[in-house]
Amino acid sequence: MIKFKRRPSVEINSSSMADIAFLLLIFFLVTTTISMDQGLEIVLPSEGNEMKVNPNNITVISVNESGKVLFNGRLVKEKSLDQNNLYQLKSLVENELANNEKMIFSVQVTPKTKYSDYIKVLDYVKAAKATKISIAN
Amino acid sequence: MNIERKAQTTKEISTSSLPDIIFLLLVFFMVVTVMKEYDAPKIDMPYAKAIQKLENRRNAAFVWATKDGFVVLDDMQFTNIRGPENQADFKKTMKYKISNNPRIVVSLKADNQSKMSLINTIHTLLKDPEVNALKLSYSALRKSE
Repeated sequence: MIKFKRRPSVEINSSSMADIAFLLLIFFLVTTTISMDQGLEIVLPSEGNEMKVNPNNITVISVNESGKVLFNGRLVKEKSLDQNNLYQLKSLVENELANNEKMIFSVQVTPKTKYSDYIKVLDYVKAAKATKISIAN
Repeated sequence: MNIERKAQTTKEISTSSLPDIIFLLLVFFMVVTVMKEYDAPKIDMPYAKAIQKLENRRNAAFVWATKDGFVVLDDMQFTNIRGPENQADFKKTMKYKISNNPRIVVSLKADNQSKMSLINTIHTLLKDPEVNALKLSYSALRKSE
């Protein structure tokens, strides 16, 4: 009579694999923060690359420390920037661009101007599809 | 008498492919995750409409500017960015980042209340010929209409 030896199974038990994977999955789910980084993009001029521009192609937008905006020396609105309605500025920028495609918008600020006011002005200039924006200190 | 027997079919859903699905999800999250390296200072960010998404977090260098005038670059804090020592350190760190990855976009996360003199100092440091980090993004939150 031939006796067959019972062979013990040599496979690694993989039933807990799913549990381990689940645990790792939950860890990564908890640690992942979906990137929401967004902002107003500009390119700074490199130093020493100054070039002369025809003064007719420059529109100066100045923002003072109390948030008043001057567009080529004219006050944009009596209301402060907190009111969030700078639509006049947007239409002024659009008009300038319609008259002259090469128009450069120079945003000038004082050292005490609030960053939020500067961003609001920049936002409206960008919203009016202006591409040539210069930032003056 | 005939007794009708219903065919006994198994009603369980096969779970044999479950580990594969879980592994796939796991690999996705492992690839997407970027580990947080440092704690950022608290700032009140401005709102804007004409904003664009940063292409890739890996190609970004984050600079924080608080309303008290502190500047933070990654995990380095500069308490007096107008001081020559702080400026040299800032430039050195930024230069190192740019040399490692020339496509870096500087994401400036400044507080609503910070003054433009501080922002201009940061502009000047980024424009420095040694650093030459010219791609800048003013970090802002999306404003709803």
